Amino acid sequence: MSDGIAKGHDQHTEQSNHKKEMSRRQFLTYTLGATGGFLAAGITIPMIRFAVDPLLEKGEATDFVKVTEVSKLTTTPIEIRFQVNQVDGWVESNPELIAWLRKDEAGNVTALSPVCKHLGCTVNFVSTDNKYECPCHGAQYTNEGKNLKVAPLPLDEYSVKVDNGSVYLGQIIPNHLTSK
Amino acid sequence: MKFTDFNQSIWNETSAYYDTCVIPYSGLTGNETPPRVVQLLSGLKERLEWIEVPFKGRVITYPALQYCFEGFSEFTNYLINNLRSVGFKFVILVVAPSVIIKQECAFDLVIDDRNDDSAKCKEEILQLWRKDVSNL
Repeated sequence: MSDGIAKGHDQHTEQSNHKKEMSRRQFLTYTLGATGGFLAAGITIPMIRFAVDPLLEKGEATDFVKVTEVSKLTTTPIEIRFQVNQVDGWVESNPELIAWLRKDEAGNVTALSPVCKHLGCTVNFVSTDNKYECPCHGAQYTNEGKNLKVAPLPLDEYSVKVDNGSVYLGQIIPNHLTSK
Repeated sequence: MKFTDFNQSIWNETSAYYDTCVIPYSGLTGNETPPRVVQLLSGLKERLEWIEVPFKGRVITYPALQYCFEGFSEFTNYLINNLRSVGFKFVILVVAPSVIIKQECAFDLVIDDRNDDSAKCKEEILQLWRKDVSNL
């Protein structure tokens, strides 16, 4: 009786071992599939990476651009036009920007962006009123860019660097002069 | 701003601020070679930038009139009336360089070779707006 049980058990183990074995056809399918997939990925991944490379690159802060000499600045703002190199994805351009530069009473150089914070028109400095005025809807700002009328925010600034008597302008940043 | 920058909700919120419409006019006759067309259109684009950049918050550029045609005067008068009915107070025609408008038309201002300078062009527009304020 126990002999019969042992024989039955052996037969069952043999059957399940036989089930786990891979057929030659399956082995070839898996191996060729994996190799083909690996080779295809090796070709397509570098191509995709190359195509989208400009989008993956981290946007670098715009370099500082020399715009004028400190000696030319006074407490009255003057308009300076300058060009920057801009790379946006695949498009490279050199747009012209405008900044209003002045030296404050302590001799610090400040540069304001002329883009009105109401709807984006270009403001002008009116020296008789010592104020910036927007020609579109009459927004007004102090010579530090503080919003007086119409606009909800002060004028933005450029980051400024002074080196060897020259003034360099960088990225546009929110105004910190009016919060002093 | 260009007409493409507006959707219905932006227009509903801000239309009161945009009272000036700009119509670009290339004035092509069909006699121009492709390089000449490029030259005319890039000249027109430059003139449009003199207006679109400094007055971005008050001016809207509409689609251009590309070719010159018979009945220009009647058509533009019809166009101006329609634009005014939408709410535009001022309609400005910006013409490609060296294109001459011979017909009478009812635009509030025509920017062409006579005011072919960024500062002059800006001043003409400011004068137009000032005139309106002083007429109130």
